[in-house]
Amino acid sequence: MTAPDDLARDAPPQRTRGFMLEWRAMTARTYVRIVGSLREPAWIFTDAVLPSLGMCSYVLMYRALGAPRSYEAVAVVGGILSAFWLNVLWGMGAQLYWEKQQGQLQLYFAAPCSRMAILTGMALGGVLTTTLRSIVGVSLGLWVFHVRVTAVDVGALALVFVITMTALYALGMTLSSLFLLYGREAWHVCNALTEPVYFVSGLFFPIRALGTLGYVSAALVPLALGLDALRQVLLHGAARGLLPLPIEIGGLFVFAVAFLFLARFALERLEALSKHEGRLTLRSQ
Amino acid sequence: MRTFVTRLRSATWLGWQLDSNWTDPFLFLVYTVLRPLATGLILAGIFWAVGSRARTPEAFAGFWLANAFHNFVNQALVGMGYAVVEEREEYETLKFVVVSPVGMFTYLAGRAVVKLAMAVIGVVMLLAIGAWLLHLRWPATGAHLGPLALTLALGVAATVSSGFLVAGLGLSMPRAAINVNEGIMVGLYLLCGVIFPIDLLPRALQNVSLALPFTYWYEALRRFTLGHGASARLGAWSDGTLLAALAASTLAFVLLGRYGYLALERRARRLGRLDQTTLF
Amino acid sequence: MSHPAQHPAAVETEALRRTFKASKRAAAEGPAEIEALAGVDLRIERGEVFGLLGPNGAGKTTCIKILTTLLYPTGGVARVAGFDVVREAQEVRRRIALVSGGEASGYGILTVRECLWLFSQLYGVPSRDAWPRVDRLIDIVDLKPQRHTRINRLSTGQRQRMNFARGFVSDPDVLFLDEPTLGMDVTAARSLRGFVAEWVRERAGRTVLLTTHYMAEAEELCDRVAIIDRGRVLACDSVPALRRQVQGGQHVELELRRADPRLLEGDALAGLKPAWGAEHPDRGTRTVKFRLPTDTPLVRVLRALEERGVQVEGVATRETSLEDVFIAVVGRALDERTP
Repeated sequence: MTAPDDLARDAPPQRTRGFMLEWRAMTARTYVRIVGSLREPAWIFTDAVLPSLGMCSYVLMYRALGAPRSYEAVAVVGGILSAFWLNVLWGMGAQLYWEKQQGQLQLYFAAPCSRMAILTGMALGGVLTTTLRSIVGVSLGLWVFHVRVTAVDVGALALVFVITMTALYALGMTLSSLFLLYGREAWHVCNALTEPVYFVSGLFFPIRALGTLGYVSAALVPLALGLDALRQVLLHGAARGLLPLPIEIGGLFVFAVAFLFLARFALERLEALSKHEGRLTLRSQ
Repeated sequence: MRTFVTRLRSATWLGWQLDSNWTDPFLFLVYTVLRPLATGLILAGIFWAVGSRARTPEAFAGFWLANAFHNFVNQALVGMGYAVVEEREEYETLKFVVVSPVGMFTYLAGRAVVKLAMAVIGVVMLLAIGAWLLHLRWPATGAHLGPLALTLALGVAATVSSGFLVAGLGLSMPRAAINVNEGIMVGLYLLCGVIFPIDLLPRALQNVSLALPFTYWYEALRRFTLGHGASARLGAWSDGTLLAALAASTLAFVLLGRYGYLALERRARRLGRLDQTTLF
Repeated sequence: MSHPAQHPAAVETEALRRTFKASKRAAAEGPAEIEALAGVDLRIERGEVFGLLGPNGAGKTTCIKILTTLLYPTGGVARVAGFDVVREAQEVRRRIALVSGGEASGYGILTVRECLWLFSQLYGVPSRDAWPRVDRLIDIVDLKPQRHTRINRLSTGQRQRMNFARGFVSDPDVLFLDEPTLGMDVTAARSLRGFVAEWVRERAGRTVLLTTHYMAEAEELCDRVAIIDRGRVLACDSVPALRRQVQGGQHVELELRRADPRLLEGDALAGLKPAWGAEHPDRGTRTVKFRLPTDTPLVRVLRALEERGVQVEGVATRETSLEDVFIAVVGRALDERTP
C-alpha cells in the first residue's frame, strides 16, 4: 500500500446534499441492478423463461378444456405480469434480506442518502430489466400461442402500465422494510405471497370468476387490479374485466400513492424499531 | 443393513427437525398447506372462469388429480435439491455431512422420507378440497385398487430417485443449483401433462414426455381413479402396457438416480464444490 | 440543534449504555438482559487516532454501531462531530465512514472501480470527482491490476483492501475502523496501519476510531487507547501513560536448569510471583517469568538462584507492554475466556 500523497494533493471531494444526493444514490443503485442483469444473463432463465413456461401450462389447460381462445390471451397477459410480481417479491422485498446477510445493509444505513432513494433505484432497475425479460413471454404469446390484440390505445396502455408498476414496486418497498426487523420470517412471508397472490389476483384467469372474492382482491391487491386493467386495455371485452377501466385506473392511482406513503412510513418506523432492538445488522436471523 | 437403518433414522430425524416447523405453525402452514393449496385453487379459478364454455369439462377432474399428486414432485423431488442448497449456503454444513459416517446419500434419503410425508398432507388436502369445493369425485373402485397401489409405489420411487439426481446436480453446479431446481419444477409441470394432455405439446416434446416416468404416473393415476386418462395417445395403451412403461421408466430413473448421484458427488468433490458458497 | 463549534470533540459519549434482550432460552438459564455497554464515557479529540481495545464481547462493535447510527443506545448520549447520533443522525452520516474487518460486502458482479464509485454516490460525490478519486485509491491499495475485475473473483485479501479503500472515497471527518486488519496477512496489515497514520497526519481534523484486539496494532497506531471489557472502559490514556500506570519495572524471563519451583521461594525471591512456562526437554531446562519490582536488582535474584544450585541458562528482559497493561487492568489475557 502506498502513501496517500496523491490523495493529499486533491481538495476534499464535494459531498452534495438534498435532491442531488438522493438522485446520485438512486441512479447508482439502478446501475447495479441493470449491470447485474446484463452480466449474469442466467437470471433471464429464472426471471423470464421459467414464468413463461409456467404460463404455457395454463394456456394449454384452457386448450385441453376446449375453452374459447380469448382465455388463452388472458393467461398470457397474466404470465407476462408474473415476472414483475416475482421481481417485486424477490428483487425488492427480499433484497434487503440478502443485503443484510452480505453486510451491505449497514453500509447503506451508515451513508447519508435516504433508504427510499436506494429502494427507488432498485425498483427502477427492476422495472427496466423485467420489462426487457417480458419479451420472452410476449414472444411466446404472439408467435407460439398466436394471441392477438387489436386497436390498443397506446396512451392508456402506458398509463396503466406505469401506475401498476408504481403501485407494485411501492408494495415491494413496503415489504422490504419488513426485513429491517425480521430475517427469515420475512423471507417466508415472500414465499407465502407467491402462489396465493397468483390465485387472488386471477393471474391466469379473469378475476371476475372469483365473484365477491375478486372484488375484495381488487381492493387490496394492486396486482389484481393492475392485471385486470391491462387485460382490458389489450383485449377489451374478451378480458371479462371486473370494473370499468377508468375506475380501475383510479384505484391503481390510489394504490400507488398509498403504498408510497406506507413504504416511507414503514421504512422509518421499522428502521427505528430495528435499531432499538439491535436487529438492523443482525445476520442469519 | 442395521447401520444403514440407524443412519437413515438419524437423517430422517434431522430432516423432520428442519422441515416440520412444528414450533412455528405459520411456517408449517405456508409450506405444507398454503402453497400447494394456492396452486390447486388457480386451477379452480380457471375452472370457474371457463364454466359452461368448456367443451370437455370432464377432463378437469383428471387435471386436478394430477396437480394434487404433483405435490410429491414439488415437495420431495425439488425439496431434495433445495436441501443441498440449504446445507451449502444457509447452514454451511454440507461438507460436514459429506465427511460424516452418515454420508450425503443416506442423509438425503432421510430428508426425502420427511418431505414425502409432508407431500402426503398436501395431496390429501387437495383431493378433499376438490371433492368439497368443486364437487369432484374420486371413484377408485375395488377393481382398480391393486394397480393404483402399484402406481403410487412406482411414482414415489421415481420421485425419490429423481430427487437424488437433482441433488447431485446441485452438488456439482453450485451457482446454478437454484435455477436447476426451479427449472425442473416448472419443466416437469409442462412436460408431464399435469394439467393438460401431452398430445397438445409439439411432437418432439411429446417424445421427451414419454421418457419421463411422471407422464405415465399421472396418466395411470387418472385411469385407475377416474376410469379414464387425459391423453388420447396414451389412451390407446392397455393398463398392462401403461404400467409396464411406468415400471420401466421408473427403473431407469432409479438406476440413473443412484449412479448418477454418485458420479455427480464425485465430480463435485473433484472440483472442490462441496463447500463453495455462491452468495455473490 | 447542537453547534459543532461548542463541541470540538470528534466523538463524545456520556454514560453510554446498551442492553440487549436475551433469547428465551438464554433468559431461562441466565439474565433476561445482556449489558453490552454499561456506561461508557469517551472523548476523542479531532485529529486523534483512538484505539478501543478489548476481548471479544467487550462491547467494541456495539459502541461503533451506536456511533455510526446503526444502533440506538438504551441510555446516555453519544455525539459525533458535535451531532447527536440519535436526533441528528443524518448530520452524523454525512461526516463518517465505516470499515469493518472481515466483511465480504460488495456486489459480486461489479468491478472494483464500480463498487467504489457506487459508494461514493451514496455520499453524494459527483462522478466527475469520484472516478479520479476512486482510481487513486485503487492505486494506493495496490489493486490497479484488479480494477476491472469483478469482486466475486477477488481473493479475500484483495476484497479486504477494496473495502478498506471504500472508507476513504468520501474523505470522511471521522473514520470508524472496526477490526480492519481481521483476516489480513501481516504485510497487508502493516501497510494498512502505515496508511491510516499518514492519512490522519496529512490533513487537520481527520479522526480515526479503531477497534482491535491486536495489541501491537493499538500500540503502533493509536495516540490514545481505551481498554474496554464487559461494557466498561477500564483505562483510557496514551500507551506510555498506561504502561506507567502498571506498577513494577522490568519483565524478566529466565531459562533454568534443574528447576524446582520450591527453589524460587525465600526472602531473596519474595514477591516475585513467578509464572512457570514451557519445559524444553531437549535442553533439560524450563522457563520462568516474573515482574521484577523496581527496588530489586536482577543481580540479587541471579545470585540467590546460584546459591541454591540453580543453573541459569538464559536471561531475557523487556519493558512493560500493552498486553501487560491489559492483563493488569482486566485481570486476564486477551485470549482468555471470560469466567
